[in-house]
Amino acid sequence: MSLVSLRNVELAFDSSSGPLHILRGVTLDVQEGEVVGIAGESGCGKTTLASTILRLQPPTARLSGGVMVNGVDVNQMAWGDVRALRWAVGSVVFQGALHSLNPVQTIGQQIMEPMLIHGTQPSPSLARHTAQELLVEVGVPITRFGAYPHQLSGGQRQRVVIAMAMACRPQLVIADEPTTALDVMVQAQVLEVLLNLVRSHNMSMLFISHDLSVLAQVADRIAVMYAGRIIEEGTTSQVLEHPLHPYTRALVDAFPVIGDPRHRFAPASLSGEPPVPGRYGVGCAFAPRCPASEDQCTQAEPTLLGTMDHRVACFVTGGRE
Amino acid sequence: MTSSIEPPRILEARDVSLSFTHGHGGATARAVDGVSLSLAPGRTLALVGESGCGKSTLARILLGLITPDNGQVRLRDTPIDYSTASLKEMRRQVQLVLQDPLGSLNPRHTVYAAVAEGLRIHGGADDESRRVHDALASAGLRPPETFYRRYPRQLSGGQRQRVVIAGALVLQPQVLIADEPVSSLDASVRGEILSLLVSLRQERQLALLLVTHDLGAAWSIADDIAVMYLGRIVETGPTEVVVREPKHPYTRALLAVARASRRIPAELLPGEPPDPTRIPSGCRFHPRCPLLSSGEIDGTPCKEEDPRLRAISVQHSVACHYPE
Repeated sequence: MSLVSLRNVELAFDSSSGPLHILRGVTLDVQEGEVVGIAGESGCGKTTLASTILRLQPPTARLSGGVMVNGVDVNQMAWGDVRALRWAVGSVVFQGALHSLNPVQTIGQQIMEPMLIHGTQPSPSLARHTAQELLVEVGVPITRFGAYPHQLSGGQRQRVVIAMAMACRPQLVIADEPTTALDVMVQAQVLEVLLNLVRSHNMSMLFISHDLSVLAQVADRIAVMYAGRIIEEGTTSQVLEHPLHPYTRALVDAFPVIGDPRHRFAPASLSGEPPVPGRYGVGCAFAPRCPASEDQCTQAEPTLLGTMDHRVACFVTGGRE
Repeated sequence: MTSSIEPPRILEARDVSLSFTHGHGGATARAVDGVSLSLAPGRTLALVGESGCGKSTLARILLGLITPDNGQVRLRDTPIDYSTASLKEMRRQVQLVLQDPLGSLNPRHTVYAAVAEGLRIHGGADDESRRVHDALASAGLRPPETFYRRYPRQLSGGQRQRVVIAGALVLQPQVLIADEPVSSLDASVRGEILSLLVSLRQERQLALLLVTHDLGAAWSIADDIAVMYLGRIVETGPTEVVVREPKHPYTRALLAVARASRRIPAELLPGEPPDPTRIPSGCRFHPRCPLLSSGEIDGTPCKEEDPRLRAISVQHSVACHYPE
C-alpha cells in the first residue's frame, strides 16, 4: 500500500466569472521512504495538490476524487483524525522560514510545541531533550536553543523549521520550495540536512520546486505539472535525461548545462505565456505554446500513458523518444 | 579615435570602496573593498557571488546612485564628479533593470506612461510616441500599440519585465545594468528574457552588466565573468576560461554547487555566508577554504597576507596564494 495515494483528484473554486479548475484529475502515489518531486511553474496547482494531502485546501474548494493516506480517505476522516494527520503523519516545510516561525517565542519552545500538543513526547523534559537532539541533527548549535528567530541567519531559521517538521517523526514531509529564498551555498547545505534526515528516519517526502536542478539532487521520482495536470511522470533519470513532453523539455533546457558550448548565447525559450490558472479550454493546455503541436492537440486532452518508470500525456511524443 | 588592442571602455570602476555603518557606533561593513572593472560595448560581464558579497552595491556605484568612499567611476573615460549635470548624463547612458518587475512599475501607470517616463524626465522628445513604440518593439512586445493602454497587473511576469527593459531602452543608453533580471521569473520565461538581453547586446552594441547568483544564466549570456567574495573580485576572465579552468577555490565551490546532482553531490563550503562587518585577516576566504581545511597547502600566507588580484594569463586574473 502506498503511503499517499491520490486518485483522479479534481479541485475547483467558484468565482464570480465561473468555476476555476485548479486540479484536473491528478493521480499520484508516494511510497514509503520515497522522495517524489513535483515540478511546475507558478499557478500550475502544485501547492494546491500538496495541500489536499493534509486536507489543507480552503473550505470553499470543491474537491472530488480520492486522497488516501495510509489507505484512509482524508476527506472522510473525523476531525480528531485530521488533527493527528497534520504534524504526526505529515508535516510541511514552507518557503519563507521567517513566516513559519513565531517571532516572540524561542526556537526551542517552537520545536517542542508540536510534540507536546500531539503528545508524541509525554513530558516537557523529554520533549526538550528531543528538541535539543533535533537541533543538533539539523546543524544548529545547541547554544541557540533559547534564541529568538530574528537572532538567527536565514539558513539557520530554515533549519529550525525543518527540525519542527521532524519533531513528531512524521511518515511524510511536504517541502514546498523550502530552499527557494536561500542563497546558493546555504541552499545546498539545507538540502543536504533535509535529505539526510528524511533518509535516516526512512520518511517519505513530497518536494515541490520550480527548479529542476534542485529536484535532480533530491528526488527518486519526478512529476511535472502544467495547468492543473500531471503531464509527465517517472524516475528522476528518465524524466530529466529523456524528457518526452515538449514542456518538460523546455523546462530542462531552461537550466543550462554549465560548460556545454551548445548552451552559450542560446538561452532556451518557450513562446507564449503560462495559462491563467483555472481557466483552460478544450484540448491540451500546452498546445498554444507547443512547438510540436498538431491538429488533434487542440481537440482533445491527452491522458498520462506509459510504464511505471515513465509516463507522459502527449499525443505527439507519447510512447516514443 | 585611437586604435589599440585594449577594448574600448564605456563604464569603468577604478579601485572603488564603500563602507556602511550600522546606526551610531555600530559595526562597519566593508561592502565593496577596492574593486576595478570595466564594461565594453557589445559585451556582457556577469558579476556573480552570494548575497552580501557586495555585487548589488557595486552595481549601484556604477550607476552613480551611491558615491564610493574611495576610487573613481568613469563614463567614457571621464570621471563622474557627482554634480547634477554629470549624474543626469550618467542616468541617460546607464540604465538599470531590477529583479522584480512588479516592484519597478507603478501599478497606476499604463505601459505607455511607464516607458515614456524616462524620456519626459530627460526633457521630452518630439517623437515620443515613435520612440516608445520602438522601445517596446525592441523589448519584444509586438505589436507595441496593443500594450500602450495596459496596466502592469494585466500583464504576465515576462511581459512586465519586458516593459521594464523597454523603459530602460527608450533613452538609448549605452550601458544596461541588470540586477538578477530573471530570478523572480518562471523557468519557461527566463530563457526569453535572457535571449532578449543577448540580442540587445548584439543589435544595439549595449554594454551589459548581469548581476546574478546564477552561474547558469552567466554561462548562457555572458562573455566575461567576475566572481565576487566579501567585497572583492576574486577571479575574473572570459566565461569559458573561468568555467573550464577555475583557479580560485571559491569559484570551484560555486561551480560544483551549480552542477550538483544526486549522482555527483557537491562538496559544500562550511559556514554561513560571510559577514562584511567581520572580514577575516589575510585572505578573506581562508576560514572557508577547502584547500586549507584539507591540509593540501601550508596556508601560512593565507592567514597573514591579503592576496591581490593578479593576472595568470592575458585575460584571466585570480586573487589566491595557491591558484590551481
